[in-house]
Amino acid sequence: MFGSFMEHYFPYASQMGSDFTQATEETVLMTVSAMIIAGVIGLIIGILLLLTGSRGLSPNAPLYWVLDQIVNIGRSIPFIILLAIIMPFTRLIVGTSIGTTAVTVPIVVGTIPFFARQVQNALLEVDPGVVEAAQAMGLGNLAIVFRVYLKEGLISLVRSVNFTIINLIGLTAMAGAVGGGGLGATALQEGYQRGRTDVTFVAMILILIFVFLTQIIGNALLRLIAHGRA
Amino acid sequence: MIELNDIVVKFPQKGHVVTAVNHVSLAVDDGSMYGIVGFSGAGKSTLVRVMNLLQKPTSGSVIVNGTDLIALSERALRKERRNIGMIFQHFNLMESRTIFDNVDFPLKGSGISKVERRQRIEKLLDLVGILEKKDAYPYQLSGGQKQRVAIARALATDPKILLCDEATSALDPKTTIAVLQLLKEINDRLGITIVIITHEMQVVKEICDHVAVMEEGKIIERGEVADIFSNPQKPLTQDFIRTAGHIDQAETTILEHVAGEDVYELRFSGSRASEPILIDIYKRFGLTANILYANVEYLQNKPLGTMLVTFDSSDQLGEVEQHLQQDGISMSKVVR
Ligand SMILES: Nc1ncnc2c1ncn2[C@@H]1O[C@H](COP(=O)(O)OP(=O)(O)OP(=O)(O)O)[C@@H](O)[C@H]1O
Ligand SMILES: [Mg+2]
Repeated sequence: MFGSFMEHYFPYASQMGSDFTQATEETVLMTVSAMIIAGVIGLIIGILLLLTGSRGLSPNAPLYWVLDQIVNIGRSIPFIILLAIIMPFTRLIVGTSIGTTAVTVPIVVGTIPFFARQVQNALLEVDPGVVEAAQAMGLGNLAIVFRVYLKEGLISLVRSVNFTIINLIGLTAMAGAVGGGGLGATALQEGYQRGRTDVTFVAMILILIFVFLTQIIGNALLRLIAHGRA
Repeated sequence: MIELNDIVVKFPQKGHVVTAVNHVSLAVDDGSMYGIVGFSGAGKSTLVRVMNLLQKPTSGSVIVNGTDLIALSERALRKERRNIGMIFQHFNLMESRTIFDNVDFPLKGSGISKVERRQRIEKLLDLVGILEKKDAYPYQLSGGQKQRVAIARALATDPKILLCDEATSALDPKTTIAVLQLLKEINDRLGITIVIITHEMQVVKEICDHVAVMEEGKIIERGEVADIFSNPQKPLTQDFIRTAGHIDQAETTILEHVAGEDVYELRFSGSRASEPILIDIYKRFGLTANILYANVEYLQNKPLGTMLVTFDSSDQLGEVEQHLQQDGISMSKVVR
């Protein structure tokens, strides 16, 4: 019954079970690895923006200006253009410019400024009064970053990560257009370009499931760390 | 002991410079409860933040417990700050930590064992009367309770000084009294020097032994609370004192009954009786005073007398005022 239903409405997709499994794995892999790499670098840049800003713990106008410009410009370049521009750099560090690994490079590069700005904004929400109290207690800047900003800003940070992952899933799909793998590539190359609408549709459903799962996990995590507030 | 010598704090703004503190020198003795009052923008917060160098002064020196804070390295200053507790108007607790962990916060990494820390924290929470809330989060507490936690946190490192910036301004009158009583108790029992910034003279009256009045970055009047209340010199001080007394409420009713007459307020150290003062005025100037209101209250165990009077003639009142002034009695016309 189910089998004939699938064959009738999803003539091509129903034959591609293992392709979808592999594409899903690739999408998850790209998203997770990009999130980890861009997460670490973006976190560091976000914290530097926070510290060197005019109301930061150690204001440094020139450094702030440089970081701020990099982040601004980085966020302004459309991803599809970044993909192309960054190809030589990609080839330099991973040896090739096509495939899942290669496409992770522009995804990381595109995500760093996006995430850095979110980290900065998330941490700016931390009550300056609490920071002042910590200073009055004799904490140094590094201790304040770890024990005050990252701890008090954790809820906002988790929200940012959540938001960034969902954004990343979009980027991985777009990367499919230029020889990356994953569900985006399947939807475009196997589905759209061959006129196989059912394939595109299934790929889209799988992407949506991934997005929803991210949100569910994120919300569960938020509830866990919020201890009943917010 | 806190010694501020000739402190100036300037904030360069676009196009002009704001002088928040303007050549202020101040000495706060060990074990004292020192109040600093002034209207908004007078520079009180800036001044108190100079005391632990959260605000670096443009010029002047800051000596706390014999140490010149400005000469210290960053590291040594941080260590010194552990001897100076601070509490704030908005409590500034960490929302992500329990009450217990908030008080533990300044103790982490201080080399004190976990067991010892637990004992100390529970003792402090007990002292401020909030031990049963130790596993709660700040959002589950009332303002007064939060300030108690903040006090416990400030005391965790065993400071010799506690700075309070508008610590009761966000609290209702009843909670304010309770928190002030707690501060008084801490001062009495632990011998901690307390500096209290406030815009309410009532707070000073309740618990301070010394007071400084600030206006536009300067201290315009200072001294023992009982003296300042019995003989305020500056109009601003007189204003502040009037707002702190019960007389404020009584005044309105009394003034309604003597509409059209000039009413004068006399303040004096209450060890003097009111009768002889008025008899003295009669003998010297031939003026008869009619007492509308008289009261004696106790500030830090010193009596403070207040009288509202009318005179049968306004001749020679200038001389009367001068004469009383020499006697340590302040006289001012009640403005209505
Ligand atoms: N960081 C700053 N930058 C610029 N100006 C400042 C800064 N801090 C304080 N000022 C200015 O210094 C003056 C004194 O401010 P301060 O906060 O010390 O007043 P305050 O007596 O504590 O007032 P309030 O009762 O409102 O708290 C004000 O004019 C204020 O605008
Ligand atoms: Mg203030």
